Amino acid sequence: MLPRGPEKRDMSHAPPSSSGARGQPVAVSPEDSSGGAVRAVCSQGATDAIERAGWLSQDIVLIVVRLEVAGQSQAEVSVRTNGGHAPVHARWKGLAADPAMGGARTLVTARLPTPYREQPPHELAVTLLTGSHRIPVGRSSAVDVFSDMGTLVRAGLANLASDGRAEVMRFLVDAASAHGGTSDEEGLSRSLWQLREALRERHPHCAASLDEPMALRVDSFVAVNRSSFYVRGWMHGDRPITALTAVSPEGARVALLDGLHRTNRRDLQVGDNETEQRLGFERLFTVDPPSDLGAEWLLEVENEGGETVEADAPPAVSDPIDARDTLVARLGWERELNADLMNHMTPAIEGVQRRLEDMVEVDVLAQFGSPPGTPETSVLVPLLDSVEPLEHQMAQFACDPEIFGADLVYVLGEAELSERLMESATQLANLYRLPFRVAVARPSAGLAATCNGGASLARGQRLVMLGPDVLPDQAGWLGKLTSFHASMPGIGALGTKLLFEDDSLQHAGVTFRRGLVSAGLEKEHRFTGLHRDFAGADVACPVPAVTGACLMIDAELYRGMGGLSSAYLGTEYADSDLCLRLGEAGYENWYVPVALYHLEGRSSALPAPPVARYDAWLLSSRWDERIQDPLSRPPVRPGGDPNPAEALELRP
Amino acid sequence: MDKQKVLFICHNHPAVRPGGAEGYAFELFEAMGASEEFSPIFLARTGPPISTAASPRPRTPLGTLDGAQDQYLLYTDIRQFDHFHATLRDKTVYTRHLRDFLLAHRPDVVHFQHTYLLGVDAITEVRNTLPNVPIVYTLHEFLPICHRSGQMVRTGTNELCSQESPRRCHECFPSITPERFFMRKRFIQSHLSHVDVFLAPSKLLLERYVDWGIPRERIRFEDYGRRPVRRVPEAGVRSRNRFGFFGQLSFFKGADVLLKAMAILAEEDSDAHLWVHGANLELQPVDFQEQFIALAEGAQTHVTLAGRYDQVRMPALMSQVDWVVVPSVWWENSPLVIQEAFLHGRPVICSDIGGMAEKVADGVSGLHFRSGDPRSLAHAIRTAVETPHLWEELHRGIPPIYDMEEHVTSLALTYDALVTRRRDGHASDASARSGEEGHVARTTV
Repeated sequence: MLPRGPEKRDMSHAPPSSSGARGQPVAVSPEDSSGGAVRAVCSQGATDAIERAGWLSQDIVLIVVRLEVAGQSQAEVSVRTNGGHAPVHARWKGLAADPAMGGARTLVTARLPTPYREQPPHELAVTLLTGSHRIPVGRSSAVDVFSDMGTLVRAGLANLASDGRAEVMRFLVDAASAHGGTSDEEGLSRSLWQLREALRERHPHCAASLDEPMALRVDSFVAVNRSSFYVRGWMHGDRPITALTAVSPEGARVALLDGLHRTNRRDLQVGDNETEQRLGFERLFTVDPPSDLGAEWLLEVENEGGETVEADAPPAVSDPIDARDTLVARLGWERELNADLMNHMTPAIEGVQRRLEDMVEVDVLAQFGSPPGTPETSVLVPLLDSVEPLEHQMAQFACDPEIFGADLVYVLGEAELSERLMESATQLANLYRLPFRVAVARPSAGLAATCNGGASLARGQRLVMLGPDVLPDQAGWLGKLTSFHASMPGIGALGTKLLFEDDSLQHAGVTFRRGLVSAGLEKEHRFTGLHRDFAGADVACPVPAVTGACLMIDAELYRGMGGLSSAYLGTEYADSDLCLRLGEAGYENWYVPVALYHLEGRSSALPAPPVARYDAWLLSSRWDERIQDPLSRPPVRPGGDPNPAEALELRP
Repeated sequence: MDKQKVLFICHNHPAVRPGGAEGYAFELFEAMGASEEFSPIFLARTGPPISTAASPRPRTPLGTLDGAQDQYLLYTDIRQFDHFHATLRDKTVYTRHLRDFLLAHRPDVVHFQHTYLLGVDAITEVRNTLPNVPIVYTLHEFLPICHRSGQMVRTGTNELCSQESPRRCHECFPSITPERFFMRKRFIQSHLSHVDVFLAPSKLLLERYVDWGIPRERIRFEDYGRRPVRRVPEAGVRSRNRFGFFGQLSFFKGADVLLKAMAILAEEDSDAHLWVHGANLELQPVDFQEQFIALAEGAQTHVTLAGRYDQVRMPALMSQVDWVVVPSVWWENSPLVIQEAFLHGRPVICSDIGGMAEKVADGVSGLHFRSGDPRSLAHAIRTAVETPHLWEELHRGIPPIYDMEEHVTSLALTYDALVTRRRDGHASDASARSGEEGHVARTTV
C-alpha cells in the first residue's frame, strides 16, 4: 500500500477544463491549491495529460506525462486489464521545461503485477503523489497512448538538452532497483540500451594514439558476474585527467578514477623513465543495475578542461572459464604480485570461481557391485584430468578386504572423460569385483567442486579424500586411520605418512612459516625427502595442517565447514586452507604415521606457475594475519613439544 | 580315484611356433597326460606376433588346437596388450572368455607357465572365479621384474643388472619416470599376490625374485624335467674339436661374441670348427644382422651356418659335435640347451654368469669363459681342443639331468600340499577377498 499524504487540499476546484486541449501541458503547482480534502478527480471527456507510454520490459511501463511538477517521488498508477483494476507501485520524476519539447514533462515508471503479454492493459490512470498532494494526471485507454519505445523516445525525449537527457537516463536506469526488479531482465536491458543510444551525449571517438591530445583504449574487459566487471586499458591526456567513466549498455554510469590501479605500459612507452606518467589502468568495479548485455559498454575520459572522448570496450568475456583464464593470464605478466593489484584481481577471480561453483552439479553415473550396507567410511577420489589412475588403485584395493566395506566413490572433474571413465570402470568392476560408484561433475570442475560434490554423495560417517596418484603401502591402512580418528575427540583433519617411490617421505604433516622467498606465508611438508623410517615422522602428533592427498575427516564436519574453498584455482593450497579453518574453529589436525605412497611424480601435471603463485598469495592474504606467529609453533618434535597430545607410536 | 585336472596356461603352443619355455611346458603336459593321476588341459594364447596367421573367429576367441580335446588356443589382440604393465586393456578377455573357460572346465589346479601377451590379470581372474583352486606359476625369465624384455641387462652399456629399483629402471628408460616403474611393480605384484607357489628353475632366478619381493616361503626351486633322449652312437674316436651352437641368433644369446671368438681362432689356424644351428636372425635389429653376416663371412673357414634346426633331429646334431657353446650375455635361467647337451653327453662351454654358471661346473662338466669376451671364449675353445683327455674328463663329470618323471612326481606333491592347505586352512568362501592370509591382505607379493 502506498503511503498517502494527508488529505488536505481539495483539488475539486481545479478546473479540469483548464488543462486545455490535448497537447497543452497543464501546470499544477501544489502551492496554488487551497487546503481541503484531496480526491482524485477525473471526468469523462477531460483532456488527459498522459501523452505517451511504452514498455521498458514485460512488466515495467514508462509513461510520459504533460505536466510540470518539480522533484520526484512516488506515483499511483492504476491499470485496468481483463482481470480488473490494480494499483501498482510507481514513481515519477519531473523534468525541467524545455522549449524543444514544447513545455515540461514528467516521467512515470510503474511495475505491473503481471507481464503485459499475459494481461494486456486496457486503460491507464495516473496520479502523482508528492509529499502532501495527490495530483491526478489523467486516465487514458491503452490503445491511445502506447507506442513502441523508439517512437516514444524520438517524440518525447530525444530533443531534450544534454543535461535533461542525462537526467532521464539516470531515472530510467534505476527503474529495476526502484521497483524491486523485473520479470523480464533481458527486455529491460534491451530497452535501456536503446534509450541510452538515443539519449546519450556522444563524445568524439578517440584514436588510440599517444599523438592525440587525449586518448583512451580498452584492452580487456571481463564480466566477473552481472554486477562486477574488470576492465584494463590505457589512457593519456596532455592535460590532467579528471574523470574516467564506464557506461553500461543500459546507461548506468560508474566513476572509475578513484581506486584505479595504474601500471606502466612498456608496450607503449618508449624509454626507461619510471617516473613518467603511468599509462595503463585496470580495475574491478560494480554496476547497478546489473548488466546482462555484455557488449556495447563504453568508457569516457574527461580532462580538467571538460573535454571528453570515448572508446568502445570489447564485448565482455563472460564465459566463466574464459573469464578466469583471462584474469589468470594477466597475472602471469607480473614478475611479483603486489597488494594494490591483487585488491582488484582477487575479488575478480573469486567472483568468477563462485559463479563456476554455482554452476556445477555432481551426479552419480553408476554403482558397480553391491554397495556395503552402512559404510563407516567413504573414500572419495577426485579424477581431474585422467582416468588412468583407476586401474592402478583398484588393483591394490582389490587385495584389501577393508576397501570392500567402504563406500568408494570416484568423482570425475573433467566431464568430457565421462565415457572413457564408464568404459574403464565397467571393465575393472567386472575384473576386480570391488563395489564402487562413479560420479561426474558437470560442467567440468576444479578440485574443490569435485571433492565437495563427492562429499554430498558420500554415505559414510567419515570421509577420506584420496588423491588418484596415491597407492597404499599395505592393506589395512583404512582401518588404522579409522581407529585413530575414532579415538580422538575434537579431531579436525587426519593426515598420513606419504612416501615417494624411493621410500623417502613426501609428507608427514604440513607446517607454515613466513617466507624466505616471498614475504607471505609459505607451507612446507615436514621431513620431506628423509627416509620413511625417520624417527621424527614415526610419531603421531597434532600439526597445523595436512595434505588433501590422503585426508580423513568427519563427513558432517567437512560439509559444515563448506568443504574445500573454490577460491583456489589449483590443487596445492585448498587443503591447507581447510585445515587452517578447522584450526580456527577449535578443531585439532593430526598426523598419524600410517604409510601410503603419493606418486605425485615428475610427470604429473603441475599447476601452471601463475596458478600456483595466485593460490599461494590467496592463502597468505587470508591467513597471514590470522596465524599469530608461525615461527612460535615450530614443527612438532617427539618429546620436544610442550603441549603434546600423547605421542602415539604407530608402526607404519 | 578321480584324475587331477591341471590347467596349464601358456603364452604360445609349440605347434604354432617352436620355443623353449612353451616346448618344455608342452612336454610336461604330455607327460602328465600319460600318467594315471592327471588329466591336464593346455590353454595357449595365440595371435600375432607369434602366429602371423591367427585371427579371431567372430563369435569367440577360443578354439581347439586342430581338434584336440585337451588343447586350446585363446586369441588375444596384440594391439590391446600393454607391454609395460603386462596387461590387456580389454578386460573382457579375462572377465568373459577366460571366466567361461574356467567355469566350464573347473580345473583342480591352475599352473601358469607364462602370462606374456595374455596379461597378469588372468591370475586375478582365476583367483576370483575359482577361489579354492591352487595357483602355481613357473618363472622362466625376469619379465615381471625387468622392462627390457625380462633380461635384466641395462640399456646403453649392456651391463648386467642385478638390482631393480625405480631409479635404475628410469636410468635405463629415461622417458619413463621412476614413479611409473614403481606403479608397474605394484600393479604386477598385486596380481602375482594371488599365486600360491612360484617355481624357479634356477637358484639365480629364485634369489632374484625373493629380492624383488616374493616371500621366500612362496617360491621353490624346481628345475625343468626332461624326457630321456635317444643317443646317437659316435663313429669312432677322434679329436674333440667340433663345437655346436643351438639357439636364436640374437645379441642376448651372444651370437656375435661367438663369431668374434671363431675369427680369432681362424687367425691362429685352429683345428676348431663351429656349427651354428640357429634361427631368427631376420628378427634382430638390422645393424646386428649386418654385423653377424660380416663376422660369419670373415670366419667362414671355421664356421658353418647350418640354419634352423628341428627338435626331432637333435640327437643326430648333438652326435655331430663334441662341445656345446652357450655364450649368452644375459643371465639365463636354466637353459634347456645345457640340459640337452648334458643329456647327450656333451660338455658345455658357457659364460661365467647367472644360470649358466649355476648349471655348468667349471672344470667338472664344462668350461667357463668371461661373459661377452671373445678372447676369453677363444681361449676356452683352444683349451678344449688342445688339452688331451679334457673332453673325457668333463664328459664323465656331467651330472644326471632332472628326469621328467621325477618332475611330475614332485609337482604332484606340490599340488596336493596346496590343495590340502586350501581345503583345511581356509573357509570355503565364494569370495577370496575375505581376509585369506598371505593371499589377499598384503599388496606386496
